[in-house]
Parts: sequence; C-alpha cells; structure tokens
Amino acid sequence: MDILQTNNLTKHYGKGETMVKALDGVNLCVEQGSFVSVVGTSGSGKSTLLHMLGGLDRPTSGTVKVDNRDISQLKDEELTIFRRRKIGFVFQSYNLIPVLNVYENIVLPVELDGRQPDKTYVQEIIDILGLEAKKYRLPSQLSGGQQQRVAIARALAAKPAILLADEPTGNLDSVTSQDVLSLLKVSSDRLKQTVVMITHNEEIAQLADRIIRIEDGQIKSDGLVKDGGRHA
Amino acid sequence: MHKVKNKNVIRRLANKSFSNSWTRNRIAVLAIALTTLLFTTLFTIGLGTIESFQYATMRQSGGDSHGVFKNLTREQYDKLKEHPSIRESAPCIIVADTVTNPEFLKRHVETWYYPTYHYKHCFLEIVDGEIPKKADEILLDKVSMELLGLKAEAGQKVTLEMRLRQSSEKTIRRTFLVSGVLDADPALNVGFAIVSDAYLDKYADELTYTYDEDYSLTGAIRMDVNFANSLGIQKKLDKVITDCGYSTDENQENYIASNANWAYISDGAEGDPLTLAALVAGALLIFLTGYLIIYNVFQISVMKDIRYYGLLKTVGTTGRQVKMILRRQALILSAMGIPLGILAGFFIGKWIVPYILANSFYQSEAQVSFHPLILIGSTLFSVLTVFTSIGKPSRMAAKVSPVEAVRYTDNAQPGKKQAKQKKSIHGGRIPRMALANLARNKGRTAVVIASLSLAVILLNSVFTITNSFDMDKYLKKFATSDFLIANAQYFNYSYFGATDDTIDAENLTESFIEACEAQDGFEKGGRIYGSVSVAPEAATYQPPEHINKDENGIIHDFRYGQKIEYQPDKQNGAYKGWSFLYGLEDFPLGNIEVWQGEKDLDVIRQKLATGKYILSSIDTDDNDAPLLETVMHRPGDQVTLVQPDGTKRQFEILSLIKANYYGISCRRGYSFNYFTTSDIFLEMMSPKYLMSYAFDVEDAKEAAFVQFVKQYTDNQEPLMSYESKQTYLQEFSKLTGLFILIGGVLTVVIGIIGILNFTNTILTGIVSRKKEFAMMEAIGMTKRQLTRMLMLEGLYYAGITIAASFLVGSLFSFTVVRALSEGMWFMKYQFVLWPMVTLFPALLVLGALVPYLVYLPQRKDTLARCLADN
Repeated sequence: MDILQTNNLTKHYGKGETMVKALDGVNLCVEQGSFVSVVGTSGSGKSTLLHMLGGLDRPTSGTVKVDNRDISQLKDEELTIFRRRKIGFVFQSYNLIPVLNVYENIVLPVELDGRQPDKTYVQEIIDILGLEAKKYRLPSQLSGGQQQRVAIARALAAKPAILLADEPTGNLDSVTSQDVLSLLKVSSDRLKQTVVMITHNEEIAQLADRIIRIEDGQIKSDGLVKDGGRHA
Repeated sequence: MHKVKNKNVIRRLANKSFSNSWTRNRIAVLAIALTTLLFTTLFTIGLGTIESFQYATMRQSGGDSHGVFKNLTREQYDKLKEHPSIRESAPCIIVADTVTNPEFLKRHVETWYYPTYHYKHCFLEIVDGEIPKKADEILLDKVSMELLGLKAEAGQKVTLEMRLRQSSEKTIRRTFLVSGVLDADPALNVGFAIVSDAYLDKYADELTYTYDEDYSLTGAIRMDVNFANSLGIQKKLDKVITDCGYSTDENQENYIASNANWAYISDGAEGDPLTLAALVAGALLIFLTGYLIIYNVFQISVMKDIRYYGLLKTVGTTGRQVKMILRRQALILSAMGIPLGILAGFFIGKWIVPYILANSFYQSEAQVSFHPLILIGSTLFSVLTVFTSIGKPSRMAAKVSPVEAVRYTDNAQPGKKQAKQKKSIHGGRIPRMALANLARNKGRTAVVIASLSLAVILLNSVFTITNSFDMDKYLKKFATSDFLIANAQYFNYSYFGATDDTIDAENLTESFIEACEAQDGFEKGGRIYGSVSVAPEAATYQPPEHINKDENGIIHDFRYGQKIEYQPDKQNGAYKGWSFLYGLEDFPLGNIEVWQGEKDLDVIRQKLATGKYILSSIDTDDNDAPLLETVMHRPGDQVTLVQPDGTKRQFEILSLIKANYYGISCRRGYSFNYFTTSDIFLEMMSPKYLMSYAFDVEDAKEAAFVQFVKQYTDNQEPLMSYESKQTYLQEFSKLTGLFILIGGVLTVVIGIIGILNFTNTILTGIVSRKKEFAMMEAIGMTKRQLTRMLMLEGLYYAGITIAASFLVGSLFSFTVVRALSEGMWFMKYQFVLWPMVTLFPALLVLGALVPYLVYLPQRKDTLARCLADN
C-alpha cells in the first residue's frame, strides 16, 4: 500500500524571467513501512520536495496524498492539525523547544493535539533511542547527537504516517551521524515506520531501502538498494 | 597610543547597521522623543512659571525696565543718560500730582508723559485709536473711561480736574480728546492718562521742578533705564549716580534716589526648597523612565545583533570601536528624537502653565516664551539619559568574544536543577511554555515590568495625593462665613489698613451691604470695622516675657524669622503702624475662637459692650497651632489705646483669640490686634472705616447668590468685590485639578513609554523566534495555539505588573506618598488603591492585545520561508 503519492507535483518560485522551477512534475509513490532516501545537490529541489510532502508549503500544481488524503487542498489550520497527526519531522538543526525538557519535547506534538501520549509507546521510543537517562534534561544540556535523537523521538511519538528527515546528520560528525542514523533505521524497522530522508551524502543515502535521485526539480533515477538496511 | 585613521570605517559601519534595524530605530526615536518631551515639559513649566511671576511683578511695578532714577531735574537727566553702562533710558514725567474728578475717588488716575518708544516697556497697550500727538490729546485706560460713564472708544472728549501741586488747592479743568484707549491692567487699581510730547511743550512753564521745595512730583523726571543685563542692578544704578558726580547718600545735598525693579530681584525658584525638590524628583523620575526603555531597546538590539558584533570582533574591530558604533547610532537617534520631544514638550508645558498660575496669588496671564535654557536643559538631560542607558548594552557588545557570539541565544540557563516534573495535564504545556519564555531573559522581563509598573504606581500616587486634599479642612481655614464682601482693594493685597488718607478708596459701601441683605436667600450677617490708626500707648505697654527691650527702651520681637523693632510714634507715643483695631458686629463676633482667657461668648459680648474690656489675638500656623512668639498681651493685662486725635482709652485684655486671617482680619498681619464690638469701635472712630461684611445665606440659594454678587460687583459697584465659600471651593477644585493635570500628563506619557517598551519586547520576542515558531508549527502547533501562547505571555507580563504595582505601590504609598500627603496643612493621608485597581483590567487587555496585534502580520509568512530563514 502506498502511504505517500505525488501526482505531477510542481513548484515554481517567482515569475517571468526570474522564475525558478524548484519542482517540475514529480510523480512519486512511497510504500508503507519503507525507508526512502532522496539525494541531490543543493538547489536540486530536494528540500522543496520535502516541504511539499510535509505540507509546509503549497504546490503550484499537482497533488500530494498522504495516507490517501490530498493535503494540497487543506486549509492552513487543517494542514497543521493533519501534520501533527500524520507527519513527523526531523530537522538538521534539531529544533527542540529550549524551555521544555526531553520528555516534554517528545510528547509535545501529541499534547498539542489535545491527546494523552501513549506512555508505553513513548517509553519504547525512549528506550530504543537510549534517552532514558536524559529524560528530564533541557535541550541545552545535551550534545548534538543526543538532541537529534530527541528530535527523532519527538517525530515518532505521534505515530505519524510518514517521518520526514531533512539532512538529519548535517550538523553532526561522522561517528555521531552513523550512530543517529542507525537508530533512525532501527526504530523505523521496529515500529514499521515509513521514513523519507533527504540528504546530499551518498554514503548516508545507502542506508535506505530505496534511493531517489533528484536533479533540476525532476526525478532522475529511482531504485532499490540491494543490501538496504544491512549496514546497521 | 598612536592614532589610527579609522573614523570613516566606524562611521560607515555604524550607518550601515543603523539603517538595518528600522523597527528598533523607530521605537528608539519615539522613546527618546517621549523622554525629551517630559524633560521639556518640566523645564517649560518651571521656567514659564518663574517668567510669569516675573511678568506679573513687572506689571505691578509698572514696567520691565531694570531700574529707575527718581525725581530728577532735566539737567540731572541729561547727565545721567549719557553714562556708558545705560543701554536704554526714558524720561517719564508726571504732569499733575492728582486728578480730582469725583469719579476717580476710589480708583485714582495718574497723568503721565511717557516717550512713545517707552510705551511697550510700561505695558501700555492701545486697544482702540492711536498715539496722542497734539497737546489736547491723551490716552486713557478703559476702566477710567467707564468710570466717567463713557464707552471705551477713542474720539471722545473728557475733562480732567488736575491738581498740579499737592501743596496747593488749585485745580485746572482741562478738556482732552481721547486719541486712544489703553487696556486696563487688572493687577493695578490705578488708571492712566498719558499725554503727548506737544503737551510738555505747551505747558512747560507749569511743569517746573519743585520736588526739592514741596515734594511735588509734577515736572520731576522718573528715568527708567535698562542695562546690558539684569545682574546686580542696584550696584549699576549706584555706579551711574556716583560716576556722574552725585551721591547715593540720602543726607547729601546732591542725593539721587534710585531703585531696581523688584521683578528682577526676586526670582521664584530660589529659596523654595519644596518646588526645587519637586523639580529634582520629576527629573529623576523621567530619567528612570527614559533609562528603562532606551536601555531595553538597545539591550534587545545588541542581543539580536550579537553575532554581527562577534563577527566585527573576529575581523579585528576593537571593543572601543564597537562602543563607538553604538554611540554613533545613539547620537543619530537622539538627533531625530530630541527635537521632536522639545517641540511637543514645550507646547504641553505652555498649556499647563496657566493652570499653575491660576493657583497662585498672581492672577495674571501666563507668559511662556521659548527660553534657551529649555532647549539646553532638555537636550542635555535627554542626551545624558540616552548615553547612560546605552552604557551597559554597549559594554556587552564590546565585550563579546567571537566564539561566544555564535553560540549566544536567549536560552534558559543551563545547569540549573529542573524543578520536579509535574504530571502533564491536558493542554497544560502552552501556559508553561509561555511562562518559560518570560524567564528566558529575566532582566528584560524585569525592565518591562518596572516600566509598566512605574506608570501604574505614579497614577495611584497622584490620586492618593489629590484624595488626601481635605476639603473641609481647607474651607474651614478660608471661609468662616458663606460670603465676605469688601472693597476690591481689600482682596487685592494692597489694603493698607484704613488710615484717614486712604480709607475713602478702600472701604466697603453700605449700599452693597443693603443690596445683599435685600437679596433673596440672605440669612444673617455682620459688619467688620477696622483701622490701623488706633494703637497701644508705648509708655504703659506691659510686654510679655519673650519681648525684649534694648537700652533705649525700644522693644523688639522675632516673628516669621524676622526681627521687628517697635518704634513708638513721635507725635502720640503709640505703636502706630504696628497695630489694628477691629469693631465686630454680632455675627462675626460669634465666629471667634478663644485660645486663652474668658471663653463664654455671652460673657465676652457683655463685657466688651461695657467698653472696659477688649480682645487680643495670637497667630496660628497652618495646622491651627498657636505661635507663642506672637503673643503681645496676656488676659488681664491693661492696655491704653491712643486714637488718631490723641484721645486715650484704657481697656483690660479679656481673652486671646486665634487670628482668623481670612475671616476677621485686614490681611496684613499687624503685631498688635484688638477686637471690640462695633458700637465701641464707632465711639472711637468714624463709620467710614467699614472694612468688610460677612454673611451667611440659605444653602439652597448659595449658587444663585454667587451669581447675584458677581453681577452686582461687575455692573453696579465695580470697585467692590467678594469672596464666597464657592470661590474657595473653586480654588480647591482648581488645585485638585492642577495635580491631576500634571500627574495625568506625566502618567500618560510614562504609560505610553511603558506600553512602547512592552510592545517592543513582545515584537522582538516574536521576530527573533520566528524560526522557532515555524518549527513548532511544523511539528503540529497550530497558529491559534501559537497566538494563545503569545497572548498568555502578554498576560503574564500584565499579571506580574499587577502584582508588582500592588506590592511596591502600597509600600510607596505608605512611605513616600504618605509623607507628601501630609506635607500641607489641608491634607489628610488616606491609603487608596482604587486608581490602580481600575487600571488592572486595562493592563490585562493590553497584555493580551499587544501580542495578538503584533503577531497578526507575522501569521501570513509561509512556513517554508521561515524555516529557511537562518
């Protein structure tokens, strides 16, 4: 089953001569439970793609369907609510709320939705990501890798349909990167979580089951990784 | 240290980063303008009040010349006017000693020659017609014309009966054409007739100098002079006299009298510690207000740009240079804000001064000109405030190390122990996040709260003070009866206490009393007679212990910080001029308050009626406490009073009463005061010594009665005047209004500054957290939830402000405001919080509304852009 579908997804910035075609007719399907890497150089349109997939920005034309819902038709407020229920984000710069501690950060999206967090599920995430000891620390008391692990936990806590990761290891050294990525991989496997990760790093992209290459706003190649996931 | 030519680079950097921060600039300019506005208002009020007092004094002294040489001959005048120190001079000549038209009996008319160029210095303002040119043309003031039964218009003929010399009975009837009408000065109870140059020529033989023979002023020159400046006028006058070969010694043959204009001698602010303290306190308050906002604006801006300053440091800018960049920016902002503030402040000040004057003794028009001191003072104080305020932020910017700057963000402090984790409740995270945001920078939060609280506490203080004005206490002092009527002179502070020479111009008319008694609503009243001409005999006077006697037998005492020597009159051996005798009818007698001696009013009435007893008085201070040093007699003492004709009459002092300055007195503060019944008074003196008449009216008809008395004194007998309980009630509300006006302006401006500070903090808080908000939105916080969080932040500000104002305001009220509220005799401190409490809902609305409005335009930004913005 496809959890994510785009149909002729197009995004243009500007007008006339200065118009930039950030995305130009992208058709993409992502299957439930898969781990997909999107690679491309800077300016290739991969970040725009992620913004479209996550409902952070609106396409110029085309549709984005998440969990069979066309999110390009939603109003702002509905979109936000949809996002916190169905989409988890992991950013390059962690983006934790500085005034909340680790646990509070993790359950924040659930609570914003007015729900009670599923405590056993959250605890499971915390255990997988090895955050038990840091549960009550503030973000400023954590290292970069630890902060990114919290961000992953936060993204997973709402049991989203897809988890979108935008250069999740861009701010981390290579050892920590490996560490964080394998945790991302493990949790997605164990929790049957669909993950779409954007990166410009080929080596990191190899961790995925499937690699999509994007160039000048168009998909150039799309293929399965043979030993996908076995690195971890 | 060698100098490096880097001024230009620094200037360029300063200008570039300056134009980069528009929001900050606008708020900073506004803050500086408001601070300057407050300073300027303060200075304008201070200087304007002094100026207006000075102007009023000048009007009373007859001109704005620095000084005057008196009674000169033409020869003396010609000699003196050549003196190099004299910038300007004018020969002013009286052309007749008195004008004896019966219409001018109560309001004398002086006939003067003034050179036309001197008119403006004597406040001669022609309201109709023109300057007199021919010998039979004159200027005459409005009121004099009305007294003659004419309309105040030029082109009419008047006949003046001019008695040229006091020494001779001869009067000349001379008919003039009124070429112009002068505005009459309400401050003076004198009319003016001004003659032309031609008149002087035509009647030259009449205007000879005879002052040395008969003290006649006619023909003598009064020379008004102006020097380069108004410092040390008397010394300059003396120097002119001696330089020209005359003497300043009264006993010398070639003596020339001179005096400085008292308007220049006394200056209001000096010697009034209360006013000075108020000014200093005001300046400090404004400084603090200005500091709070300007400091905050710069602190925020420096923090926002901290990476930029770190970068500057990395590429080799020194700390001093960073400071210079900031200082230059502050200078540019001041250059924009200060002129705005001065302009606005000056006009606000100008608007307030008349209200202050209305509460003073001088009932004169306000005179507020733009004094350079206002400009200099306000600029200086504002610049001082700005530079003090940017001290700390610029030190912070200068000290930042490049590495630190990159890491610096407005975070909660790390390393602190977390409070125990509370069980999360449904949706309870947002309030906690809002509160935590306030704690991100506790200093800034404190500054904003202090800034807001200042306005609240100030408002409360203003109302506490006005609330402490006790109307009953105030009225009790001023108004013993509902009405007091008398000659306008009596209220004019120029009542000399009724001697034979002056009484006709300053007594009350029986016709006015009759009119009042006949008016509907009149209840009861009584006459008060008085004369300064009856005095105790020095030889038989028995002084109390505190009165000292020198070797010549001259007694003296000290009252109100002054030594007073009582010289007995050479002719009749009485303390004439130090004493006043009152004759009271039943009604005013019933209002006396006995301090010592017989207290029963009936007994007092009976005993006074025998003509053997008399009352004396003691002065009291503002709080009604007797001033013991003013006791001149003890009950039981014998006193012999000498009448003007030399007749002596012996009395026994029955009681000492408390002086009633506004009800039963001539308002001139003589040392010896005697009170008897009107019958006994009339046995000794003529009934024309009628000083005043006190009466009560029915409460319901009081307002109508005021109208009647006002109409009557305006139309029937314009030389009469009145005071009523209503007058004092108005005075009282004027005083209260003044406090509310000044306090209100101060509160409003400080309030605006507080709101500005709050808005700026919220605004920068939102702008700098844009990315954080976008990210929160990305993970599922709706815009509504975000707005709620921001509004909660604002509400927390409001809440803490309320708590702080409540606590600090109460403390302040019990200490400082209490001291102020008990500063004046008619004040009674009362702790009030309602003015503050009424503000609280407004604060809460403000707290919620400001973040909402500030965030509104930000909501449109797309998420992706905010996230990309780094």
